[in-house]
Amino acid sequence: MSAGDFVQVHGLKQYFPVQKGLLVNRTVGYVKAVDGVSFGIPRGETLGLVGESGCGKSTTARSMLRLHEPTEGSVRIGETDVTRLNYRDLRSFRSRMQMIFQDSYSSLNPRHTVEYIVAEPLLIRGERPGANLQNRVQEMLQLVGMNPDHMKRFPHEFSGGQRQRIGIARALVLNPELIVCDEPISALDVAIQAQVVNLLSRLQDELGLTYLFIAHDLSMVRHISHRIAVMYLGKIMEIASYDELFEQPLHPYTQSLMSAVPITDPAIEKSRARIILEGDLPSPVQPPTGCVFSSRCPFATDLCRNSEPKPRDVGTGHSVACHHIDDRVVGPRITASREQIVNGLKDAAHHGPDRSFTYEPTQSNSSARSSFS
Amino acid sequence: MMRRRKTQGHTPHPPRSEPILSVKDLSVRFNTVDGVVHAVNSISFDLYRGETLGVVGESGSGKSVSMLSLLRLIPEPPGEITSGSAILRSGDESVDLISLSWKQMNRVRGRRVGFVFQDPLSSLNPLISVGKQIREIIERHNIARGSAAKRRSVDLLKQVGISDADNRYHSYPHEFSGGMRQRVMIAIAIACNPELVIADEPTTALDVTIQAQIIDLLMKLKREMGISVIWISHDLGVVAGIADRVMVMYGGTAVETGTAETVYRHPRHPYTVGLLGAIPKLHQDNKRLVNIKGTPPSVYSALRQCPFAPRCPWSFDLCTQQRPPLFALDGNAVSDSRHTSACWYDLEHNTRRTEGAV
Ligand SMILES: Nc1ncnc2c1ncn2[C@@H]1O[C@H](COP(=O)(O)OP(=O)(O)OP(=O)(O)O)[C@@H](O)[C@H]1O
Ligand SMILES: Nc1ncnc2c1ncn2[C@@H]1O[C@H](COP(=O)(O)OP(=O)(O)O)[C@@H](O)[C@H]1O
Ligand code: SF4
Ligand code: SF4
Ligand SMILES: [Mg+2]
Ligand SMILES: [Mg+2]
Repeated sequence: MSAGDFVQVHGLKQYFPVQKGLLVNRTVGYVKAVDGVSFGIPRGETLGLVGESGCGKSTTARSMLRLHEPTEGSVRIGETDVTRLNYRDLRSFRSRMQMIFQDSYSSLNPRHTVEYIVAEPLLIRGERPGANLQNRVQEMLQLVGMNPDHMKRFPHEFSGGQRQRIGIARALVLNPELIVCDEPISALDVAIQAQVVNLLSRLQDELGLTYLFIAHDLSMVRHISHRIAVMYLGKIMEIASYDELFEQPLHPYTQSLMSAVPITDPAIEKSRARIILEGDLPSPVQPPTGCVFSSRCPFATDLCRNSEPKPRDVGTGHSVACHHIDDRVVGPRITASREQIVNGLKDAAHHGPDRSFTYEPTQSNSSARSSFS
Repeated sequence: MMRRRKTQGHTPHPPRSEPILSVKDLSVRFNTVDGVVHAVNSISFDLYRGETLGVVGESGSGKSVSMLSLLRLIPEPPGEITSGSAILRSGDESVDLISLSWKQMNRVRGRRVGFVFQDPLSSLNPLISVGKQIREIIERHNIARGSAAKRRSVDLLKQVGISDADNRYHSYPHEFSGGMRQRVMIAIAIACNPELVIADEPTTALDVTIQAQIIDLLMKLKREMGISVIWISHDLGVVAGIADRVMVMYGGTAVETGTAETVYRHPRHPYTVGLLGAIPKLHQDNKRLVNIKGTPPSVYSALRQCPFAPRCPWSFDLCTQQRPPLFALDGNAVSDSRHTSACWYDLEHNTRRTEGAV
C-alpha cells in the first residue's frame, strides 16, 4: 500500500459473535472472518482478491463498503475516511462505490423489467422517470453490449451471462469510481466468463474504474488484475503484482492454489508437480495458533505453530507472511517446490492448441465473422 | 504433499479389445408444457475398459441427461428416450441398458455402474448415518451381510481417506464438510466393485484445494480397481488432467471426440477451437480472451442444422440446411484413437467436406 493509492485499507477486522443459549444469548466466541487485512489499490487498477470459500473475501468487501460495521481498522477511498462517515454522508458516498454479485438470479428482482432494474439506483437517488432516465438506461445497456430493445423484458428471459451484464449496467448507472466484483463470473460457463471479463476490462479502460475483483481461484483473476492478494482464514498471505506472483509465488498457500489451477493440456496436466493439501479449511472460530496455514502447510515447523508470521516486504511491492521462505533449512524446499510449479505452468503457455489451419474465416457468414475476437 | 499424478496419459494407446460400453444413436427429449425439449440428439460413443471418458460442454448442452438416461435416472415422463442403444459388456455377457426392465436396471445401478453427483448433500439421506448408507448398498446387492457388511463399510471409509473411520461411521452427512461428503459418495459408488463409474461434475461445488484432493482420490481408486469412468465437467482443465478420451458436447450433440491429447492439441471443430481459446493461461500475455459471441442454442426445435451455425465464424449455406454427420479426421474410422468432428467445414484444408462421414 502506498500513500497515493485510491483505496487504502488498513488493519481491517470483522468479528462476528458466536452465540449460545436458549433464553439468554451468551457470546461464546467470535468468527474472525476478517482478521487484520491491509491493502491498497491505485486509481484505475484492479486488485484481485483470491482464496477458498469462507476465507473472508466477501466479508472484507462488505465491511469496506460498511455493509457491516468493521470491528477495527480504517478504510480510505479517495479523500474520504469511510470508517468515519456518519450515516447521512455514508448514504450519499455509497453511489461512488458499487457491488456486482456472483448470483445474478437472486440479485436482480425477477418481477422488475430490465429498464427498472437498471434505473432503480437513479430513482432511489430521487431522479424522475422520463425520457432522460430512459436514455440513460439505453446508454448503459449499450455500454455493456446489450440490445436496448430488450429493456422491457424480465431477468428470467436472459442467460446467466446476459443477467450479469444487466447487473453491471445497474452498477455503472451512478458513475461509480470503485466497483467491487464479488465472484461475478464463478457461476458462468467458460465462454461466457471470457465475455464478462473482457467487458469489465474494456469498461475499466474507457471509464477509468477501480476494481476489487474477488474470485476463489487464480485462473480468471490473472486476466483482469494488476495486483493479486491471496487470502486464507481471514488474513492476507501474499500480495504482489500479477507478473511477480506468477513468476515468484513465495507463500506455500499461493503455490498450492497455483498448482490446483487446471491446465488445458493433457500431457502437462497429467504430469505436473502439485501440492495437494491435506484436510479442510479450519474453522475461523478457532483458527490454528501461530501461522493460520500451519495445519495444512507441507512445510510447517514448530516455529510456525507457535508464532504468527508478520507480512514482510520482499521488494517491488511484494509482501509475504511466512517464516520460512528464505531461511537455510526449510527455505530451499519451498523454493524447489515453487520452481517446479512455475515450470509446469510455463510449459502450458507454450503448448496451446495448434493453429496450423487458417484462422481467418473465408465464408459468407458476416455477422458471425468477428465472433472469435 | 508434493506429488505427481500417475497416469498412463501420454503413452500411445495400445489396441484394445471391445469397448465396455457402446452407445449408439441415443436421443432423449422432454415433453414439457412449453414444448418438446430436444435435450440429446443422436449421440454415439464408446468407452474402453479402464479408461476415463471426459464429457465437456457448456451448461444445457446435454451432458447430464445423456449419461443419466443410460441408467434411467431422468424423470420419465416428462423425459423420454426416443432412440438408441447402450451395450454394457463384461466377459461374454452383454446387455442393452436402454431395453432393461426396471427390475433388471435395479441390479445394474449401484452394482455394475456407480455414480457420483455434484451435490452430495442432496444425494445422501440426511437422517441415516453415512456408514449405514454405505452398508445399505452392500447388503442390497448381496455383497456382504451383517458384521461383514459393516466391516466392509468401515474399510471403504478408510479407503476414501476418512480418518477415524470407526467413529465416523456413525456420523450424519451434515456433520461432514463438502469434501468429506463427496468422499462418502465415492465410497458408495465403489462399494460393489462396479465396472463403470459415472461422475457428474463431482468437484464443481468444491474449493480448488479440495477439488484437487477428490480428483486425486477418484483417479487413484480407478487405477487400483480397474474401473472405467465417465467424467462430466464443464471445466476443460479438470478433464485434461484425467481423461484418456474426450467428447465435446454442444446443443445436445457430440461435436468432437478423440483422445485427450488430440482434442486439446489439435481441436478441429469450430466450437472446440473457440472454447479452448476462452480459457485463460496463467503465463500468457494476451489480455483479451477469445470470445464466442452469442448465446447457447434453443433446445425447443428439432435439429435440422448444425446447432453451432448461428455462432460459427466458418458457417456457410450447407450448415443451416443439413445437420453435419460425424466425419473421421484421420481417415481412421474404426480405430479406438479415432478423432471425429461433426462439421461441414474442414479447417485444416480450408475446404468444404463431402466425404469421410462415419
Ligand atoms: N426434467 C427436465 N424437464 C425438461 N427439460 C429438461 C429436464 N432435464 C433437463 N432438461 C433440459 O435438457 C437439456 C440438457 O440438460 P442437461 O442437464 O443434460 O445439461 P448439462 O449439459 O448437464 O448442463 P449443466 O452443465 O448445467 O449441468 C437442457 O436444455 C435442460 O434444460
Ligand atoms: N453475518 C455473518 N455472521 C456470522 N458469520 C459470518 C457472517 N458473514 C460471514 N460469516 C462467516 O465469516 C467467514 C467468512 O465468510 P465470507 O466473507 O462470506 O467468505 P468468502 O466470501 O471468502 O467465501 C465464514 O466463516 C462465514 O461463515
Ligand atoms: S509460516 Fe510456516 S506454516 Fe505458515 S506458510 Fe510459512 S512455512 Fe507454512
Ligand atoms: S457445420 Fe458449419 S456451422 Fe457447424 S461448426 Fe461446422 S462450419 Fe460451423
Ligand atoms: Mg463470498
Ligand atoms: Mg449437468
